[in-house]
Amino acid sequence: MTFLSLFDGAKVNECYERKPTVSPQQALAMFNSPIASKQAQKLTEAHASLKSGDFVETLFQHVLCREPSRREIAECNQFLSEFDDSANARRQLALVVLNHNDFVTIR
Amino acid sequence: MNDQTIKPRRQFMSDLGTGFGSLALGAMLQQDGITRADSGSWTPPDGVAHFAPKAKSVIWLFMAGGVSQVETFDPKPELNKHGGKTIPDTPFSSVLDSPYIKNRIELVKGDANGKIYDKLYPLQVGYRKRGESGIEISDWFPHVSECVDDLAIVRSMWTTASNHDAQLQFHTGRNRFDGFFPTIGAWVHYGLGSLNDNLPQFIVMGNKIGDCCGGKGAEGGDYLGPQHDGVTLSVDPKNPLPFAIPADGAGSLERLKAQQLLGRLNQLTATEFPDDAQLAARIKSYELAFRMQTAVPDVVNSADETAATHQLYGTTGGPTKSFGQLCLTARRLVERGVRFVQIYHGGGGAGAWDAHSNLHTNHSKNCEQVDQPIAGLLKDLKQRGLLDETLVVWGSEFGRTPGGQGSNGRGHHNFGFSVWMAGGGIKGGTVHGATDELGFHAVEDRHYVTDIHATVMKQLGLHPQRLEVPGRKRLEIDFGHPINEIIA
Repeated sequence: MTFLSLFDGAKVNECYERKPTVSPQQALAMFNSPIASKQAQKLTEAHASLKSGDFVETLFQHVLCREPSRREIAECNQFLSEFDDSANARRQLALVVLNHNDFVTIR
Repeated sequence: MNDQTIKPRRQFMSDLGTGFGSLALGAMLQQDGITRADSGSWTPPDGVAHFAPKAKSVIWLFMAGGVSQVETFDPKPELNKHGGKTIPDTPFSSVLDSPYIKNRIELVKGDANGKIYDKLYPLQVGYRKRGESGIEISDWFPHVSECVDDLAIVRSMWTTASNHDAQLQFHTGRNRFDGFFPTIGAWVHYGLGSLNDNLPQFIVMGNKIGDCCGGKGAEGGDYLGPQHDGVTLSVDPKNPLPFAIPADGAGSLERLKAQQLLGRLNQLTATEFPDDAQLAARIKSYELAFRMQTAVPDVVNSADETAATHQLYGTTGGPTKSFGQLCLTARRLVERGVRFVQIYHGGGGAGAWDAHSNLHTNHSKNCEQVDQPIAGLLKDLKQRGLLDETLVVWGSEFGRTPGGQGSNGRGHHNFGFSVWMAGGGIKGGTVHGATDELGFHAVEDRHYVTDIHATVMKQLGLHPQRLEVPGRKRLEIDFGHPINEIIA
């Protein structure tokens, strides 16, 4: 319920015109909530066998349905290598991609 | 749109309106701060005040539902004298012939809420002169009355909506039928940028306004962009900020670097879509969110306040507890440099003050909830030397009818109602404007709701005209006029 209300979930008995919202609390919900963490964990496990470069590419395809750009690959690989491609780093990267603007909005 | 030789449609239209013929006039108006430069050379505001400000922060207290002016800040003894009579049977029958009634636009035909009730209903509470200024205030505000010499009461407000969409109108200056527009808080946020980087600059607290009455629109940035929307805070110290603590990886270096990586990745997308206001807002809101994780729990945890302070606001318990916590948090926020704090009392549905029946019970209960907390806020700001730089505004979407509705209520009344301001360079102990003997029409120094907005802008050192956005022409009534008579 907290999650829904942060995203301005509609009241079931009302049907007035409503406004889109972008608030910092939504960012925290997407980044810190157990559901986000669990999904990041699942993604990491699903692609655990891949090498770090392939992991980044697959993660983008899986979550954003597109290839990462060269600069995106570089940024992500640098992040992973900073932490020796650890499982925790991969999980955090999956979380980052789940919070990417291309995932949380429909263009 | 990347082809610079093709003008965007909005700019083309705006250029048509301010073409060659009006060049000289345009330059003159711009010098006077009446218009802004043309859109070609337009840049967003730089966060610096246009002239020396009197106030740094605003605390905006909004009572949802419609507060009876005659039972709060504009007592009318004639209602007691003529209670039970119809208006034509009193010496004041002319109020019904007023052009304000005749020329009003009924936006909704036959709306039961736009009715004129002409059988006068006596005051439901006593009143007396208060303070050195001797201003008359109802006995339902004993604590605020102690601060009367700091208040400037404007008794001559009017608005056009006779139903609760007036809640939206009070914040945007436009009738609901015109649509949504940026609110006063968003304009301040847009014009003045940041005082504090770890907290949002435009914070909203309290029971929110219902979707029927404007909902989020009453705290929205609208065309200024979602980064200028008010950010909602709850004051529950046990859970000050939902999801402030990561479900996993809290405090790790990976976590910190991941936050930074997300910012860089979104920035890469942002360069691809420079016109995407939602994306720009999202990047900002992620950055702010990560800083808020530590700043917010600290600000809403008032355990470090003295017992005397808690007593002052009434946060120790009883009917004042909930609103007291909001007022106390508001002080803590402005102390930390938050620009605009908007607090609702009784939002949701039509609003808690909507006393169509049982006005006595309704208003005595609501007044009791807010009176001590508001007075506590004023006194506390004053003793900390913050009142001079903090502008406190109190208002409601409209007043209530001098005539009774049913046996013991009052209807909606948009022809005359009261708002007050305090601190932030406002002349205390002042009454400005007046309604007629029945409290029906604002008759002296009439002010539309945007005059309150203009006064807020002026105290903050802003020319609202200079903030206008290309392609979004505002009308004179949208800007309003500062109420100079109440400025010290």
